[in-house]
Order: sequence, then structure tokens, then C-alpha cells
Amino acid sequence: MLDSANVARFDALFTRLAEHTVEYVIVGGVAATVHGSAYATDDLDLCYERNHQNLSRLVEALAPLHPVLRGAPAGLPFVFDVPTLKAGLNFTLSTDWGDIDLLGEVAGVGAYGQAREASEEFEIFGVSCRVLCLEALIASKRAAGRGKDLKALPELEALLELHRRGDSKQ
Amino acid sequence: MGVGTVPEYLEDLMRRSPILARAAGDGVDITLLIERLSWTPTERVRRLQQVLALFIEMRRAGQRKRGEI
Repeated sequence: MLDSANVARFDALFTRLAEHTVEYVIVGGVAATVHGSAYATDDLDLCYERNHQNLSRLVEALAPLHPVLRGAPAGLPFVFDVPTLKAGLNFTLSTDWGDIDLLGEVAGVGAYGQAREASEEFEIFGVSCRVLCLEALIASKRAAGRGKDLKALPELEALLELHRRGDSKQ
Repeated sequence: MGVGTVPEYLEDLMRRSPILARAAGDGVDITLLIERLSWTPTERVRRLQQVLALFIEMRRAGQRKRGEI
């Protein structure tokens, strides 16, 4: 749950990830926001490259933000390091700068390589970011198939239509 | 036909796009989308940050009211 201690700071997060040259694609609700969605989401979903070098960069970038497993019992040991990331795939984290979900795979899209291929580059807060394209975002919501994903579809399809009509600023 | 007002423009848009008409029928506010698409990507994410900060303040106000904090 959000509280004043972990207000989402997307601006600072994107800058930090860029400084550490972390390879990732923004997916999920924040990707929808970038494309124009009016729905609010409170976590940042990132599909990340899982090679050793990138895992090291990810740890260097995020470890100072004190990541812990979201919703885990207090006191449950969790070390945010490369071996931990190698041992798992998807991690739902609370950090000092907001909630971040690290996804090794995205439903309906695939792993980082496929997500990158299905992404577009945007400049956000002066930082170059890869963001899952609307078509892939729609495919991922369909594949995930949860109630909240399906609920998002009409808006995403409307956005795609407006983009195709040339109504977007980017 | 003139499309000088927002309702007329929207009606015209819906007539020409079954996808938008269906989305509006599903409760999507097309005017919000049009507004956001006139913003830059940074402005869209900045607005999300502002909305989340507001959510937190409202949640804390409720917690204070209930004596939880």
C-alpha cells in the first residue's frame, strides 16, 4: 500500500535507471499512461534483460532504494542481489521511490528481447525510455486475462484508434 | 456539417469510428483521452505522479479521521 514514505517518483527512477544503463522496457499501467491512458496505476512494471551484466546494473541502481518484497511478512529475509534475481523471474518490490514490479516475462509478449522489439522510444523527464507499444500492451492485457486487464482493453483500443488517426502529440 | 463545439466534434468522431463509439459505451471518457494525447509523454507521467500523491493524501486523511495514525 502506498504511504507518504514511498510516493512514486517515476522521474527520479527513470533517471537513476538511465545513469546505471539498465536495459528494460516499461510495460503495464505506466506504459498505458505514456500512451495517453487516464487510468491511474501505482506501480511501475519493468520487463528487464536477465543477462548477468544487466542484473548487476539493476542491483546497483535499485539496492540503495531499499527494495523489499511487497506484502511479505515483516522480517522475512530478502537480499536484493544478483543471485536472488537469477533465482527468480518476477519480483514485486516496494522501494523508497515507490512500488516496482520486475518482470522477466510479459504475458502475450515474451521476455525482454520480444518486449524490446515491441517497444517504442520515448523521452520522459528528459530520459530516453523504451515503452511497450500499444498493440503489444493490448496483447499482454488480453493474454493476462484478469478482470483488471480486460477492463483496461476498451480504453487501450480507443487510444490505438486515436493514435492511428494522428491525434497524439507523440 | 460544422464541428465547432466539443459535443459536435465527439459525435462526429463516434459516427466515424465504431471502436471509439464502443469504448464510450463501455464507459471510457474519450474527452480525457483526447486531452491527454495533446500532452507530451512527460506531462502524462507527471500527471499520474500528481494523482498518486493526491490518493496518498486522501488515504491519510481517512486514516487520521479514523484515528489510525
